[in-house]
Amino acid sequence: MSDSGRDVQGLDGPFMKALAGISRFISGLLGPVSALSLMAIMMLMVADVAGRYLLNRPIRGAYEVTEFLMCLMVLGALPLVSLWRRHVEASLVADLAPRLAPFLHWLGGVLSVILFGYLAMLMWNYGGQLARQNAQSLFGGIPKAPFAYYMAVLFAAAALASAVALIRSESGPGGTD
Amino acid sequence: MVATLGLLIVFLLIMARVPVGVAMLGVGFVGFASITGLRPASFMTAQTAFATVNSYSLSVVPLFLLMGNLINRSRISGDLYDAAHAIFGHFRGGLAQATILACGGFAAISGSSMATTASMAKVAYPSMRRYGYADIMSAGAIAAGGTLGILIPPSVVMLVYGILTDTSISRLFIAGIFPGLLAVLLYMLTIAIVVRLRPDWGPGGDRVGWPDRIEAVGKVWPVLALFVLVMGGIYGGIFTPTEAAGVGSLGALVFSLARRALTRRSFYDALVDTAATAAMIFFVIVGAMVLGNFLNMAGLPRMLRELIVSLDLTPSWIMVIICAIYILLGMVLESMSMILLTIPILFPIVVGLGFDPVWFGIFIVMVVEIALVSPPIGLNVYVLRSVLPHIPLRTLFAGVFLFLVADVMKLLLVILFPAIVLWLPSLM
Repeated sequence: MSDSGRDVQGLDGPFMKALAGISRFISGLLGPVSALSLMAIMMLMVADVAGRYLLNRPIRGAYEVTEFLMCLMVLGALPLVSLWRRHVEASLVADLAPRLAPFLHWLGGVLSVILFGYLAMLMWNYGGQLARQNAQSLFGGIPKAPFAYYMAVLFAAAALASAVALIRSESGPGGTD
Repeated sequence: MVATLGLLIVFLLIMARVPVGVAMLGVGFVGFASITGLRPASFMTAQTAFATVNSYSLSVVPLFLLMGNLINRSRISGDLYDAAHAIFGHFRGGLAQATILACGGFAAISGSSMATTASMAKVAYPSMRRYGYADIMSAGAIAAGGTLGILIPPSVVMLVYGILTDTSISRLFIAGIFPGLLAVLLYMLTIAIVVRLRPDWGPGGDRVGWPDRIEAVGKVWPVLALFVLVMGGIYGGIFTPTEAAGVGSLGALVFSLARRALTRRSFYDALVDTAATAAMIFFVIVGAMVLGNFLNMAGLPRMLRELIVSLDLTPSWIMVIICAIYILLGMVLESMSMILLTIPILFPIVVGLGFDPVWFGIFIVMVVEIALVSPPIGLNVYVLRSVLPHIPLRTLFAGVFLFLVADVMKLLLVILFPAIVLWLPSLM
């Protein structure tokens, strides 16, 4: 749920343009990443089921590839959720006391930026840990660390997106679902 | 003590419109660190996030969401309503009955109450208005019917509950079928009683001939087919819920393509929209898990158990208290936050008292349904308001009130006769 008309007015044109550029970049890059991953999860799942029940030959590694596609999709879409301000929120107080709303808007936004930034650091360190242990997936031997690094980068992107969403608002596709 | 303080801070942050996931994850992390130190807390948080996101079985969430999203875009809601209308429309109150039935049909392939309410409002309201239905009646029927979205499987709320509590999603889904049918019956009964008392609220429509009826019903067979494929597959043990969701989403894709309801652009939008909704849900689930770990570490479940023992409460009193907690929370929190915040705390207690986890899951769904339509922040009512802005909020809530009796009755029946929930899954 996005609030329209929250754009901060009176800010410099180039600054707002830069923000618009960042948000275009985020949705232009991550929209396709998450859409394709989701599509791939669906196709892989169906192919695996069909292979198993119809041909008696499940797809090797489908389990793990699905896991990693999930990582691509969920983290890929997380910055979009922040950008479009679709995180689960309780708006009662803001609705009852509209004067407080701008303050609450900044409070939630700043805390989100801090938390996502901190999570990025945690995941990066976790990735280092996985790399040192040479952690691999159970069957295919796919290294796990790169996915933790990916998550770290995308959490950082979510922090950036939350910062952008503090100042400019836009809504993504759908909305009522 | 630290647990109570943590919970209080989470609650205050949520009330201050801090995103629920941010509030739970932040407080969970800080609280955990205050007990164990920073390193274990960092490891626990990172590992929880990594394991939750890199999960095969949790792909059930985006896949069921995708199925619902595609079905929503296939504009099937109009056909569902037409079919129900053709059969029931000529009865007094029949269009409202048709709305409930069509909502039930939509809910059988969508797991979202908001989607059910929004799409049904667009097709059912204009028709009811044309036939002179009172707004209080039509709005009430749509808002109440919309809550079926999460009771009739598939259901987003059941998915989240199952993931948080490690309860079998197959059993939860199957357990939702009878309560869902019961809800449809009770809502229809409500309408019958209301129009008997106030005939002017729901005048009968035109009678439709049998050939037209058959044609209208014939158009919605794919919905039934998809439901039977998905739920039948789960019930018969042919598919895991994850596989069923994959097959169901492909079925929904084929169906929307066959109806020429999908362009390349809208398909892309459906995928991105679904991925974003899934990411939103995963983030709050990770937050709830991290918070839950902190509360466990702080000994909250033990404290609550001791409290219950010292107060000498019987299980039925505890259920009454839990109902009261949800009604109060439902006044200030929307449904998802309510579940995420309460389940990690209440689930161990309730199961410890000997209640069945599947039964409790359905119970929670029903309580959430009531929260979805009760003032001041009934989400379904606000969805309805955004679709039908000309109806005053007071009328919308008054309409909902007509159906609240049915909701409470259903809840009582399920408490008194748990078999309504547990019989079907016991046969699996």
